[in-house]
Amino acid sequence: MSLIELDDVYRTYEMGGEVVRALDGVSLRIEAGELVAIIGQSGSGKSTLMNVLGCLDSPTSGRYALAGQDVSVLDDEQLAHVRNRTIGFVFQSFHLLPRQTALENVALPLLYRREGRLTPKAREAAAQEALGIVGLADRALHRPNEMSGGQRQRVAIARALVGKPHMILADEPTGNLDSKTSLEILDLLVALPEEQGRTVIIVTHEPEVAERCHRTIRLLDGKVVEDTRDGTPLPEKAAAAEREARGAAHVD
Amino acid sequence: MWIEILREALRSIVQNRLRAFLTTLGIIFGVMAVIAVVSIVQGVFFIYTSQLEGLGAGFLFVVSGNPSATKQIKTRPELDDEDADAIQSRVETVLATSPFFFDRRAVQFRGQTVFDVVLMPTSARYPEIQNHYVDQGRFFNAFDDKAKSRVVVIGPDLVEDLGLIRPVGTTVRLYGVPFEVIGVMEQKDGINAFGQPFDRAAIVPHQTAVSLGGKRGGGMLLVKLNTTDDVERSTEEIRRVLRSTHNIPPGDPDDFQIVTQSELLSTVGNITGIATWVVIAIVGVALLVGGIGIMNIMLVSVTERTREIGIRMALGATPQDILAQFLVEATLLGLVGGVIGIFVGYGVSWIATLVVPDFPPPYIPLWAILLAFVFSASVGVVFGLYPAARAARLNPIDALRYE
Ligand SMILES: Nc1ncnc2c1ncn2[C@@H]1O[C@H](COP(=O)(O)OP(=O)(O)O)[C@@H](O)[C@H]1O
Ligand SMILES: [Mg+2]
Repeated sequence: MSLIELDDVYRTYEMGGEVVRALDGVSLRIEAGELVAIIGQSGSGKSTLMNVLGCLDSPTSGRYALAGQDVSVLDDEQLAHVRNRTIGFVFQSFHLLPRQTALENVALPLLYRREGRLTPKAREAAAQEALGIVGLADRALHRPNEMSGGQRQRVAIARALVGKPHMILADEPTGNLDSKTSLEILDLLVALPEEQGRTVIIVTHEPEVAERCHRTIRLLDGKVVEDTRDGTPLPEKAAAAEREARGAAHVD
Repeated sequence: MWIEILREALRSIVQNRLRAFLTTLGIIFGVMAVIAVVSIVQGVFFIYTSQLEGLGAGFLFVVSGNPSATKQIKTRPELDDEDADAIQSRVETVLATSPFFFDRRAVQFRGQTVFDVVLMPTSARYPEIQNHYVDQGRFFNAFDDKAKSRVVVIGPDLVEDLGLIRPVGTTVRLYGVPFEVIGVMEQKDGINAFGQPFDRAAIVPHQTAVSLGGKRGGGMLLVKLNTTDDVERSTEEIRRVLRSTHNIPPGDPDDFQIVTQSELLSTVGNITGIATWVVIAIVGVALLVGGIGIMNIMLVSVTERTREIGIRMALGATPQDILAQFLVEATLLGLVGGVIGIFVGYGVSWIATLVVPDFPPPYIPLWAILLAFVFSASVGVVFGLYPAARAARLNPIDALRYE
């Protein structure tokens, strides 16, 4: 069982009678602990894929199983729990709550945790620890508008880490940052699989970013056109066999 | 969880203080009106009841006529000295009876005229019945009444109004003829059972007033019992005597009504009760308007914070979490308005106390405060529900992308 199993996933939008296939038959396996870059031109469907993977959006058709759980059968409340427990998001535009301090922002996912709820004190301690990981222990009481872009994105990464999710989804995390800050943020993200054993998926259109990831998935017009691990394409045979096995399973 | 939700809601309200205040104005006014009116009505009720209680449980009066049987009554019903004498002599538990009516007349002294003075023609037994005695001079006696003497006893405030320096012995004009002031009543703040102020009244012998044509209408009898043990039985006996003096055949309705103190008290209670409920109904409308204000502002707030909702949902907030957040904020808005309203209402009732003499300090019953609380909170809940449900129904990805 892979952490992520996408089988023949479509996500279509209807725009004035015209059907846009943002995802056009995507099948993927991503294992726990992988560091994956998703690349492709603007409009190729990267964000759509991330939103589907993050359970923020649902496929129009196809199957998505996250940690063995088919998410298409879950209702809104269960999806919220899945997001809370297994996914940490890092967005291009940070998406911090402006009126809350860094500490409060980071603690937010713990507030919405159902099972194993922490006391306010424990939540604060966990948030403080996460801020320490991203090197912002001394900025805990600052509000987003008192911080630089790089610092805000660090807060966002701390927030993504605080709930100890299986995977971190980062959609163009350095898109709003200058190149030096981008490198720092990237260093933080690519270190996570090794240091914390978390799966990290980064959407980017910068080749340098992709180079630092073990695996690169290239999208074009909603299709996976390239999938390489450490520079080697995933064996076409294996992929085909996999597809076949899936086809058989469907008949069952 | 609830603590965070509450803190979040408070933060949001504090952040938009002015907006929150303007939004809750409707509720503030509504609750203020409830508190002020309830407190004022209670004050009026208190004044009335304390005065009625001052009359004593043994006080009752008889009025001529019977609204529930006017059609069956043939002759014009009268209550006069003969009825008073009959009750006095035939009902053992009666201490004193006095015919009584009131009239409004001008009183003149030298060039000075005071219009619209309350004139109370009655008998010499009046002081005992009303528990109200003379301070200077004397009250008129039975002979004065029988002789139709032109004498008058006046209240201390009327003495002032007329500008009398040594009132006893002076002559004033009443019914266009001279009357001698023979006494001044002691100060007795407030009003009698019929709503007239004691201290501004002029009291004259009943027969004198009748002979001068002062009596219009059927008149009344004031009765004082010498025991309060069985007011009902005494009332029944008085009724029997009056039916016999009025020659009412068995089976015909009474042509008079007997009103006891306890009946008066319950009538006052009813009237103030009705007034309270009428006001509460009007206030309901004010609160409705306040509620619509809250709904409006909450819809704005949900729209403004769409992105925030998306972020929270991405981090794991369930639709119920979002619903709770906005519902609590709306409820809190209502409550804030309610609390401000209670304080302003209390202030307004203090003003009533300062402006109206003899008005008791504001008394706001606990039920009124609870009612205001419950009302303003429920207005928040009810009118916050729709905006909150709209927030909860948002799709996370659409909310996140909202600009
Ligand atoms: N909400 C939407 N409504 C209509 N079309 C959309 C919507 N979101 C994305 N698309 C379309 O889907 C395609 C893929 O978009 P997206 O996943 O955002 O691309 P990327 O992130 O790679 O730039 C684009 O053609 C885009 O116009
Ligand atoms: Mg994108």
